[in-house]
Amino acid sequence: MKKPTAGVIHRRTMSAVLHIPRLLVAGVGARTRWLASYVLQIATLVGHAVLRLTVGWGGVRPLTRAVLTRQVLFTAVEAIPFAAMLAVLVGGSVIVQAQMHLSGSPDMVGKLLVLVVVRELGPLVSAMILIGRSGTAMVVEMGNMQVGGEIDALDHAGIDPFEYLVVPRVFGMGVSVVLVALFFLVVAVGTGLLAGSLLVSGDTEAGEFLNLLMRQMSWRDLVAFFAKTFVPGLMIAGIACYEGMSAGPHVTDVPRAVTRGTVRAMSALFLWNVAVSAMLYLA
Amino acid sequence: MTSPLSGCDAVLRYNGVSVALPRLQGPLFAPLHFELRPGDLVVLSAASGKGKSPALRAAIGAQPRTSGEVVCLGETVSNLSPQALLALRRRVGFVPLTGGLLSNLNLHDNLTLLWRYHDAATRAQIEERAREVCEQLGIGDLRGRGLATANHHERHLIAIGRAWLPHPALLILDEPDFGLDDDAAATLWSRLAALRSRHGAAMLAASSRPSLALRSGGTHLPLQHDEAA
Repeated sequence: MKKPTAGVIHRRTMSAVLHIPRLLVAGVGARTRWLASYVLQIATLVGHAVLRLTVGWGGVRPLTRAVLTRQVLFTAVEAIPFAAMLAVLVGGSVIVQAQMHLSGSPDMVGKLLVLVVVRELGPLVSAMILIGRSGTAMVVEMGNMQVGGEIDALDHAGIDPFEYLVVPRVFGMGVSVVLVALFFLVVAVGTGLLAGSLLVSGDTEAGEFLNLLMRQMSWRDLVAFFAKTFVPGLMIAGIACYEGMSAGPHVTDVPRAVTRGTVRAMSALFLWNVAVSAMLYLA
Repeated sequence: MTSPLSGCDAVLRYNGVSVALPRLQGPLFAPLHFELRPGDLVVLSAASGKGKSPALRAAIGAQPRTSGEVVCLGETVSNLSPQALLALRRRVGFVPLTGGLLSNLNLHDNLTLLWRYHDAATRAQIEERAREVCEQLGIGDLRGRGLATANHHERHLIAIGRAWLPHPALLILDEPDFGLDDDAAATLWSRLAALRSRHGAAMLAASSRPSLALRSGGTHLPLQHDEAA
């Protein structure tokens, strides 16, 4: 066999080397296109659901409204004991840290509660509770319905699966995250107040403490709170419904869809949280 | 009953209809021609996997056709928008092979789902009709019973009852006797025959045992397959 010349070897090497960035660009491109398409699909699903329940409220059937009410009961009300426990622990631990590192200054404690609990941990932990409790359940429910042919059966019976299944779940989750986060904040701040009165030096009264708390808050906190609760709620349910309904034809596809849905919902939640914080507090 | 396609009062008309599945090349069966009038029964038969379910789904526009036209309750199915198609399906009772009962609802809520969704009647009217349908189909007491407490036969009866509750002009049944012994299947078909004669409902069914289905009248239509295809 003829030995390749140095020129041929050089050309081959250069061709191989130049092929690597092309592969990388192609790979990144495909991944980015997939991500853009996924985000667009979830946004479309959520947007349609919100439009149906806002602009098209009059056309929403009573049964869909009943499903929405049940969804809020299941998602928000049943999550309250667990949310309360976490809120007590979070509120208590923030106060303990404040006592340890901020010399127990009531002003600093109030600031810390607003910074840590109201702005970040409250909405984030509430949304995570609902991903764990209800988002996963939603993927399983929708996935099993898909595998069992129930969604097709609804469609064949003239029931719009989107209106009957997706709309109440998406909107119900949005409302539920807001409610659970509000409850979480009340309990966490209440715990902070209680722990503060026991640990923090001086005789700060409840009214004064709440005053300190309110002084630390601005309109941005209100906007951030709703942006970090209602919108992630919609996203979590949108992702859960999407992953469940596209799980695949086999029962074994459902657990995989749950894992995928949970990871994607968590990622979306954290990315959204950072984006909202950056937009509202850095701008 | 089988062709000619002249009747304008036909509940359902298949005019040279054939369907295909994505994984297969060519139509699943030779073009179907028939029409159903009120009170008629047509039973499609074929071996498993040879196109009975797709043939039924074509009636409500849930299966793409390779040829022909379906006219269902006066509407040309291929001309309908997705919303109009849903509206048409609300006027047809469709019972899939799996029954399609919702696992998150109890038996009673499954039975009454369509009427509750369509908000077509008061609660008392729905309860009255549910009792009537349970009597007609021989369904026992459903109160307080979850889906898991029902056996295969009961589930299928409830699926039929759910489709029948609004008294549609056309009932489409995908192997309603699947998994039943001969006695139970014969009882089911005689109950369905009573619905046809009493209410004038037209029925299109698929069955692997057409002789049982046709004991009380009706037309047998075996799906013809082009072996070369």
